[in-house]
Amino acid sequence: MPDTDSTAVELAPIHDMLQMYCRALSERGVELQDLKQLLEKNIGWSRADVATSDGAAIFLPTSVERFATEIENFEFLKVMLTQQAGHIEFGSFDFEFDRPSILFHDLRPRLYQLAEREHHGHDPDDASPTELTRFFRLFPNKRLALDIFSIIESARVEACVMRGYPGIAAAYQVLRERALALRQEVIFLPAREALLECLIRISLGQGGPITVPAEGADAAIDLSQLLRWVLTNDATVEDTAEATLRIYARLARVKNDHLEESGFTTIEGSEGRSNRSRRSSSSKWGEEDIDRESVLLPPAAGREKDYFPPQGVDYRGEFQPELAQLLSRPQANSREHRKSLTAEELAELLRNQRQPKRRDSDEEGEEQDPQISQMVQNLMRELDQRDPRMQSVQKKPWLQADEDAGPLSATQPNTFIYDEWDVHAGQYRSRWCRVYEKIMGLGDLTFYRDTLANYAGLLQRIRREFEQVAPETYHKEKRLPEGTDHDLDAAIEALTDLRRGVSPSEKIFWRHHKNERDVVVAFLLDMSGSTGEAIAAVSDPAQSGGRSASSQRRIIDVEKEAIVLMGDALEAIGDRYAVYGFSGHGRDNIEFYVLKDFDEEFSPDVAKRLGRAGPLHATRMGPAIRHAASKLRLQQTRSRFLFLISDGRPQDRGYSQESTEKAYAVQDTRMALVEARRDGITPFCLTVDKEGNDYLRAMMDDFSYEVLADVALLPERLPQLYRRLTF
Amino acid sequence: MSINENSRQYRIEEFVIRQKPYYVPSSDEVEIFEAAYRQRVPVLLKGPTGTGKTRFVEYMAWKLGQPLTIVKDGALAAEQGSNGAVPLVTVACHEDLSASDLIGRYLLDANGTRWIDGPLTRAVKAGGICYLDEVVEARKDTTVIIHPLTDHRRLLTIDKLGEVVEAADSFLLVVSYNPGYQNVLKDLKHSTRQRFVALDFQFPDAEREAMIIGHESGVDEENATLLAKLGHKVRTLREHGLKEGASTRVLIYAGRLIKEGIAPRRACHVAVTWGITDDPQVQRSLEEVVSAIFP
Repeated sequence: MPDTDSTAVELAPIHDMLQMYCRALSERGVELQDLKQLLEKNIGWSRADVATSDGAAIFLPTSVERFATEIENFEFLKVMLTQQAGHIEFGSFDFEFDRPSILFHDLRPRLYQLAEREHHGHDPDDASPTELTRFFRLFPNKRLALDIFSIIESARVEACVMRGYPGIAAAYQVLRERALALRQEVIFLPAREALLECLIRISLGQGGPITVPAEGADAAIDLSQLLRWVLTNDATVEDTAEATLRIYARLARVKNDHLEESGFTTIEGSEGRSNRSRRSSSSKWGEEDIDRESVLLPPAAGREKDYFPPQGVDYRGEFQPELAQLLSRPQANSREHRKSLTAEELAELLRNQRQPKRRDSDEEGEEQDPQISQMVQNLMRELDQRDPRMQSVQKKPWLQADEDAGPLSATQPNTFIYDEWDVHAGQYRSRWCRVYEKIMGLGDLTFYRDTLANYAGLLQRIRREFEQVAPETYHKEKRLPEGTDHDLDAAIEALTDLRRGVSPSEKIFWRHHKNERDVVVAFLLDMSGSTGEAIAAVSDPAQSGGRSASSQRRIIDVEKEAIVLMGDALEAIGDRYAVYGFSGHGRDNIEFYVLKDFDEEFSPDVAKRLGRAGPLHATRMGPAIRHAASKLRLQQTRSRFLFLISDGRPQDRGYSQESTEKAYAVQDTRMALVEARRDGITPFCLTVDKEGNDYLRAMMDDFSYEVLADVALLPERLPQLYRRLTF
Repeated sequence: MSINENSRQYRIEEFVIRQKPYYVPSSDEVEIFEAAYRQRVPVLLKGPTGTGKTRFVEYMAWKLGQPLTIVKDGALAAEQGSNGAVPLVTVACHEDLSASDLIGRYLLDANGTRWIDGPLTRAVKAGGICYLDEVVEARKDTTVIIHPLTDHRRLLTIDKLGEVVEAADSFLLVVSYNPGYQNVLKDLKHSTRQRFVALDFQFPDAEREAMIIGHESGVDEENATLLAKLGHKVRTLREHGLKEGASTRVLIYAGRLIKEGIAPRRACHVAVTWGITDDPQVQRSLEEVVSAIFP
């Protein structure tokens, strides 16, 4: 029972809508996913309540309920999402070490040379996992550098977003003020951290006085000038890097000592601005920095243990640029490159990203290592998964025991290979399923004849209803030599020609052209073993058109009867249709039967095939839908429909995570339907499974399915639905 | 009911464009059209709706020194521009458009029969530019009529009269079509399309579009820029579930509403969002984009 008073905002119902939103903003096909999926992988991300990105996908928390109203929660979610989309749009993950910045005289090349010398000729960028890693290796204290970089980069992106999207700037502003109100008191922070805090507050727009350590007041002014320089101009991520170098140089020298309250003073939040105008008139910063004798960055003063990363800003999410670059830059992740990537390097990368939980605990050293090494393993596995070349030798540990993992090939004629969507991994398993297409064998005509006899009354009714279809759906074919009535334009022309003495045209009639309905429909029958079940006692004969009672009818028989009636109606209005059935067992053996194809005329053979169709094996819906869709796609009509007639949920050997898990099959089926919709095919599912609502809601759009209360009504209901949907 | 004093009626040949139509070139389409006209090579304008094709033809007709005649519903009187200038005849093609709609037909009147020329024949005789808009929509037997006009013969055959008309020297055929409406049955056959040189019309880049929006709607620069940005973002979604992006035209409509004092977000809803999709989820996504861009 949904809680109507709940003010929480859930991701699932608005997922598709938000995904389209962030694709529009970032102008890329980013995937939007639930944060849980990323955290489960345990590859370095840890916060469960704020958004993040891995460079290719954006992850949002399952729900947001930190505010009192639904609107506020939604705005928070939207700002978080916009911020992450902003990272992608404004290039946070596209950092390249050698690319020049726009606003600075670049220190990176110089520092790189110096670092090379330090390493005595050993190439320092040997096997740098990412461009950012290469950059961070310039710093003696990577943790501090990473913190500075994160602050500046998040602020840069935020400024770009607020400038480029004035509409959402108001929402950002509200969250900024709230974030400022929740910041910890500066006077409780040690000196270096207090200066970082000052930076964060300026980035949040704090205007008035900002508390800073008295001895570091000058440094604070420099820092704020640097920050503003980056924020008020159209800066790139390389500019952030250059600013980080300069800020680090100043901060590293500050000892991170705790101070008395008297050791603090204030600077004006806006002071940075007035100073900047005094600076050089050149458009770039920092010419004088290059000329210094030694540009080497100093190690951080004091013990590393005494430095604690700053409090984050919630709506800015969790920013892990190095990890994101690692995961989203496939060229850098070639197998050869990765062979040289040691576990140690990954561990180093991860260790530096970790947020220590409590200040006073001894967080360093061996205690963290088991967790880190687990993460390293997970990370390497994740990298392997993302490398397409690795997919062929992948082993999925949680598959059912005897499943032979790996892609399939189609060696015989009429076999087709399809991918399968793995909702838990958030990606397709490529070339996972094999579909065998066969023409159904011929039975006899008994079934067909019996059906026509038993449903004679209903048949007539249906045919009449279909023929009464509104005239607009019939196309007027004009200028014909014969037809329903005179085409006045043509007739008048003929008469005038006659008066003129010119021999008139004979094409002066028009008629309804029924084939112009331009609709094509494929019926996909579930032929799984469960359709062999007998249905309950029959309903009132009068209601079902005078049919005689028969208690041995199975579900499949009812399905087939429905098709016979449907086919008759379709012949009356001239829609083109196909009838397919599916079953199979296992992913390498999906059976797809053609009972009637599109261009086939209804014939005794078709009727015999219908007679022959019977219950078979399992229900792997995804590939069956994909194959039916591939056949529909070839039809060049304006409207294409796929009617799935089923008696239960999708299930098959290997079509789940463990034997009782249900989401995998439902989600793959859903994805197959989404793919079909994308190609302009409208799917509809009619099921006789009373529990159908549970999974159909997840599989299909709200109104494109129906659960039949009484199985026996299927033959009557199918044509009704068809009319409703396609007329 | 009194007739509004502000509306006026013209004989088609007296209607002249007095002002230069506003058109911002995106590349060298003006030069190419001029060259094609000088050589009397027929021109095909391709592109999505609302990218300026018709406006371009009007502009070129003006630029080449022509007075303009606009034809509505195939009703057309004889026209000769002044100073021997060449008229522009526009025909909106649809699937019931027949050969006689273009070439001409006999009409019955009290005195018997009377032949009247169709718009194509008029343009051919007067030496005008005949612009067939959305030529793909017309019936197949119609498009074939234009074949002899597009090759070196430049002839129009009028079967009913048993006559053949040689195109006046300054006649040129121009057609347009939107390749986005992908329906294989209604595609332009190669025997037709290879009789034209083609100019490709795409959505303009953000800066140019902002300029166009600003000029055409009169809205201020900031809103024009934001509208262009909206158009740009929405068009990205063509690969992700939106059939057709937002045309410059709807952005201009939004601009006009904003100029009249309608709140920008609301103007975008009615002009952009609701016009290009009926899917509620897609509408919601677009509304979120609109509210991110417009305060």
